[in-house]
Amino acid sequence: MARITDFDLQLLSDYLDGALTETERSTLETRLDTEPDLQQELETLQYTVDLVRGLPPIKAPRNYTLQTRPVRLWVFPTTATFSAISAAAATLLIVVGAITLLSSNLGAPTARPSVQNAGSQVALQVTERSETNGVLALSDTPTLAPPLPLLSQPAADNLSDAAFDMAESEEAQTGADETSNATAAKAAGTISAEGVTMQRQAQSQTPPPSVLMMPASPMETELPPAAGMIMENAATGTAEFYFAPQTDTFGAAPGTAPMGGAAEAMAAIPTETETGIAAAIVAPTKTSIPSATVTLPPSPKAEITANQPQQPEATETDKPLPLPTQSPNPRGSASSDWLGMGLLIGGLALLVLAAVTTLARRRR
Amino acid sequence: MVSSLENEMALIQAAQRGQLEAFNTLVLHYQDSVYALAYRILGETAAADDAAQETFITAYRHVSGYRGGSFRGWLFRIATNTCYDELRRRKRRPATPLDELPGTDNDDGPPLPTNAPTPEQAAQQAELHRAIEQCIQGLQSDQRLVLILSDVEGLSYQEIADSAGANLGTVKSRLSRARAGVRDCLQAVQELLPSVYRLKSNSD
Repeated sequence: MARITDFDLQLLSDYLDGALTETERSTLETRLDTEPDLQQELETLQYTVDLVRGLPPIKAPRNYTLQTRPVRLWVFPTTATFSAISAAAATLLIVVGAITLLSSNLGAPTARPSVQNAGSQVALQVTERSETNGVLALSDTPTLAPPLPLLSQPAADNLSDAAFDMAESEEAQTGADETSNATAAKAAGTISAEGVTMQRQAQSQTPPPSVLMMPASPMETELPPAAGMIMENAATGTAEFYFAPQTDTFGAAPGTAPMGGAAEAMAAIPTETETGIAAAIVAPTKTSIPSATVTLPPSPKAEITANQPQQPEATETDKPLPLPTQSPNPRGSASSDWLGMGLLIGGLALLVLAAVTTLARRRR
Repeated sequence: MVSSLENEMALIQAAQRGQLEAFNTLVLHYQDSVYALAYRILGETAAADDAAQETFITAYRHVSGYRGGSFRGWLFRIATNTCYDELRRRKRRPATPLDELPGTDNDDGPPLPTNAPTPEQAAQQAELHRAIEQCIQGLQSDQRLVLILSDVEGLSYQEIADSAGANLGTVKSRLSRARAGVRDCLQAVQELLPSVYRLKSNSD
């Protein structure tokens, strides 16, 4: 029995459909006469075709006529391209948002050291300026400016104590002899705050009333802040002032301040009145007091004790001093935070969209 | 086999101008063929119904792009693509059972003609037709399509090539294989077949 090849099968199929050329048809008919298997193959195929062609027609179960013109509705794109674009955009937004947030958050710590140093540099700066210019106020210094830390009631009390103690120092007395009506001040004191003693010297000249201002400006000095805080002891008075500026303002976070302990940052502003009032401010971060202003009247001597918060010689005023008060967290940083958060949220939303479209495509 | 409309081209042009009634005339003329094609490709009535409806909606939307040739072949091509989309969707969801194949308990298939002379002959004819349909369903999809378009719908080779998106040689090859496949399948139900089938089987 000759085996029927696929070529023979196609010849027979084309023969049934009349698709062979005259030459092909005659050649096949010759073979059909001599090859009974090929003939039987043709018969079975012919009968199969007849059976299939004899299938009854299938009627549609209903009419498919259109009642109205079909309106193409917008179909939410669930293509792979859409998902890929969404995922790419989501990634981009997330990355940009994260960078924006990180840069915004990293910007603040970079500014904080200078702010932290500000408090500790105050003493030095005041001393230097007092020695050179004889001016107490530090408000004229350019500043990156945390909010002005002003003395609160307890801080003012302590400040009065300091002023009193310093007034008894020899340097203060000497300074008082040199000038009258508190136009020059020279003070040195040892300040003990939370077990940390700071020695400082200061000279200043300031017109009365002696306004103790906590400079908020991070004065950019080349002196190391920690080293600058500790000075030689030339004072006789010791005061414990809890000036309590905002931590961020003075950067006096525990463990990061140059003085260590609770008295992380400090500022010493010496004043010397006619009677030699000297003031020193130590600024640890015991409490969070936004601001305080202490005005020392040109009293001959400030009799201030810690148990007498209200002293006639040393009065307080809530009037803030016109010191620069640039925020350490400027508006640009806040807007960057919002921008970064917005980008992150948008990226996450796009990521969810990409996931949803991918799932929808797979469900189809 | 569906004969062509005498004014088919005029109806097509009217449909291209947006006349819905003209297009519906074409729908009524070809809907049985489209549904039958969809049914034989998909193997179930509900899916064939959806595919037929989708075919005519798609045809109306794209009738302006029809550029002549066999309108039936163009329509069948849309139907074929629609059915293949459905088959691909099923392939992605293999859990969907094909529970409405002709011959199964819950589906007796499309309505058959009732011109059988006797109940016994009618039953035998129905059984044979069901066997043929099952054998057609057992073919590969490309071979099944060519067999349906050729031997059921009566399209020419060129129309089949246009509808199936294949060249003439491929159409011929697929058709010959499909016919041989159906024949081999029908040999399993020899009692329904004439003696020529039994002879072929006995000779083997």
